[in-house]
Amino acid sequence: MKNRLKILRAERSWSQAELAEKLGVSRQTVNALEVEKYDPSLPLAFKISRLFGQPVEEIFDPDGAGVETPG
Amino acid sequence: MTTTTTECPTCPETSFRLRVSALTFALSYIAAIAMQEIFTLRGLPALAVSLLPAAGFTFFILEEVKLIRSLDELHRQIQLEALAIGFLTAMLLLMTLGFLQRVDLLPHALSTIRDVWGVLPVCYAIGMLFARRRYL
Repeated sequence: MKNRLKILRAERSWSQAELAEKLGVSRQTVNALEVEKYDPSLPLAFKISRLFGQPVEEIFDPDGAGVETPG
Repeated sequence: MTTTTTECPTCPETSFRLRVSALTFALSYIAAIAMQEIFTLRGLPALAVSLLPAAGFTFFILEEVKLIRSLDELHRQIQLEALAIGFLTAMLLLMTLGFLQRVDLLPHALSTIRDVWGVLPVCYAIGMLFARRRYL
């Protein structure tokens, strides 16, 4: 699933480790989310949504069309 | 079984206890083998010595469960896939060993149920390899 996690994290100048700590997951999990190897559970997706102050559908896009992904 | 503290930053204490429990099992296993080799055991002592590694391994299971419950969702998923792949790999291996035994082609070291359990961690390791490659 496409997502904007890397962009949102970069905008706040957070490292993967810092974001991982805020979300209560491991750094490897943040990395797997960013490289789109792993799709988060619903609770984690909502946690990410709350942390960045944006709706889930603006961060994650199952179709990969409406979300600008990191290059 | 293979989780490290970098995968689970919130559970270094659990990980340490897991290592202690693994060591306890290893010692109980070696002690049981040594006692069975050295002494001619019968009856209750034989039963007690035979069950000694099971006690050590039960301790290990409890710590492993605690560790898995403390993992985040990605690492729990990796564990689940590793166990699923490992279980099926073990079935494949045991079925093949069974067929080889039927035609007397089985190596002596694997010819009894006594030592076959030792290949199961290898199956789990194979499962971990595939699961980690998928997600990490």
